[in-house]
Amino acid sequence: MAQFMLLLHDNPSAWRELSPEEMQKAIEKYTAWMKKPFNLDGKRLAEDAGRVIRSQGGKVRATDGPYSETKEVLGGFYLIEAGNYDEAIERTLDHPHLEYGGTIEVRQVHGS
Amino acid sequence: MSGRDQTGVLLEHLFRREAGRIVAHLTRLLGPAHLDLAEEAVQESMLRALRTWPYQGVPEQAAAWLCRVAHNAAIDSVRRNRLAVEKADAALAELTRSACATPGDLDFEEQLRDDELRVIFMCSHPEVAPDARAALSLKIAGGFSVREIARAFLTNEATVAQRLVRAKAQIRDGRFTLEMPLGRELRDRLDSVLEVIYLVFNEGYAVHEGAGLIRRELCFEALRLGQLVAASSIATPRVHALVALMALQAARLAARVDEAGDVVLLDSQNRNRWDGKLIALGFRHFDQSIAGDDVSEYHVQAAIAAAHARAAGAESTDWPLILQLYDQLLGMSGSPVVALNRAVAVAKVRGPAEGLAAIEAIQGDPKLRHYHLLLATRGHLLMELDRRREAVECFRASLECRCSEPERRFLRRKLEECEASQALPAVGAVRPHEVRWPSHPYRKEQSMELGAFSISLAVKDIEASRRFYEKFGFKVFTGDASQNWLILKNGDHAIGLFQGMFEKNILTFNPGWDSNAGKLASFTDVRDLQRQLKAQGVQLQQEADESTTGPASFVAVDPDGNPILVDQHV
Repeated sequence: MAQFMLLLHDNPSAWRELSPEEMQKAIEKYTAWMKKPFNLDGKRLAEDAGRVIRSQGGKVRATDGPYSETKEVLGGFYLIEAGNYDEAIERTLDHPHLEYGGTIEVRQVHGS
Repeated sequence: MSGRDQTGVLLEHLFRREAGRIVAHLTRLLGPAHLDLAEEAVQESMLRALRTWPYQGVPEQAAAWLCRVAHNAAIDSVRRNRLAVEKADAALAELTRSACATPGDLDFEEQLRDDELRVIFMCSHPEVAPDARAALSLKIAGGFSVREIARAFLTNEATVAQRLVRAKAQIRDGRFTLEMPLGRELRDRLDSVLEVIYLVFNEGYAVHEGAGLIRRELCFEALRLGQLVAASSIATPRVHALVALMALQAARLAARVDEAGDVVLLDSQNRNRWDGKLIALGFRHFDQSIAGDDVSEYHVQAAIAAAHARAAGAESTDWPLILQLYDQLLGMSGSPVVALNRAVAVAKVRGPAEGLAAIEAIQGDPKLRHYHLLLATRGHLLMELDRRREAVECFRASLECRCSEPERRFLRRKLEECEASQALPAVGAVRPHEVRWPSHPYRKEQSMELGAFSISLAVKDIEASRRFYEKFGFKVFTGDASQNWLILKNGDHAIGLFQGMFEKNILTFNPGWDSNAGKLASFTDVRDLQRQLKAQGVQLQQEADESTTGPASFVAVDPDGNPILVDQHV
């Protein structure tokens, strides 16, 4: 079994449209998905743009993260198990994040 | 309360309920002028839950989590808007103190209930426009969104949003407080709170398609708000009457539509689908409602709902009591809709002709002119009176009125039934009873329920007749060919074959029996039928002894000499 990283990009303004009842429904869908046996781990990233460290002309410089200008931010990740990319995608297709307008990037963990 | 179960599943409607409670609480701490800040703080806490719980799961104290995060968000926003918030320091101190309280703690729960009650009373302040009160209550105390309110009230979001903006401006500019009014003012305010709750309930109870779920939730929200008021120290018997009324009616919600989403009338509802818990709740409050001398419209309506709930089946409904209650209600409200409902009760008690007369007395009312239910009820009664052509017209006209899709389907079905029965061969020829019965006193006062009908044929060769009728799909139901009698059935149709027992074919009615010889719960006794017929001058060939009870029979003969046997076996 290989491991895959699911990187969840959010569209924060879409959440603001939801009523409390709808928010609860969304949470229920996410947490139900989270409990699937192939899901190994998941973490939420802090809600800031983060920092990017680059080396330019021999100088190392930290700047604000890549998301400050875009609408979508990397909100969190899950680590799942799957045989291959096809299975990883199949297992992710019913993730509620997609229903709520988010984007999921799937990356295989090297050597797994 | 922790807000979730052991497996991390959230309690139903937790977010909506907590939204209402926490907004109410923060509104008291911040002051009603800063209602928006309270709402934003609560939204912030829920958004934060939405961002984090999908990764780390639902915290064990979900409700406390939401409450604490909302407090912190409120503290942040007061700090940011320090200048705009009156007595910001005092508010901050209060918020900080309250942020440490835990939901679930009895004192804090009590406080939250009290805050919610005060907010509900503020939403029904006389200066808030009546059409905005329900929306405001649902938004602030109920945790409903503008979109949900718009969907539930079948209106557009912009209208709801505008009403809310205006109402909030009134709260701000009118410097509303959360102080409970006193004395007479309290009584008046309580009445308008009850009106709002009742309005929300009725809005949810009306039959509509599509938005079904959200409308059901309106009913339960109204019930919840009613219970909140009923549990408070200011509850009066009237409050209990309203809660009883809502609980008893809400108990029927599930049985009111079938799987296809079609309307099921009270008479045909499967009473096993009525919610026993809600009925019990309704009766508990009903008992409390009769504590004082007050008899409000809610009382009478609750008593009507209770009469229906008490009946084990549609046929054991105490209609005379219900009619009496409608008389009382009509005296109190004068509403034409109540008058229409009363007409239904009149028809049940005194027969369709009188019910029809009661409708004719009110159909000129401008409020009922285009009311589909008036026409539908009228059509139904006309049909019972066999005035089919007029009934068809009524159902057609009712379909021209504004009504919901499930109701439209129902009316169309009635129209079809009506048209189908009109198309029977007998149509065109005026049947004698069409002319005579409606004008006859017994038609009004008493029923002529004749039970199962069959024809008994005098046959020459019972086997030959059996084979013949089997070709028509009849099968032997009971009887004994060796004793020269057989009863054949095809669906509800029954034919009796009798060889050498009598000369003429006999029309047979079995009062008290359905078409399968099963006993009916209610029927007109054979001796009552006999009395009614004799009173109308019908000559009987053979009479039943009127001093007996139970099985008995009599025979009448029609103008052509056909004997009619009325034979009661039960």
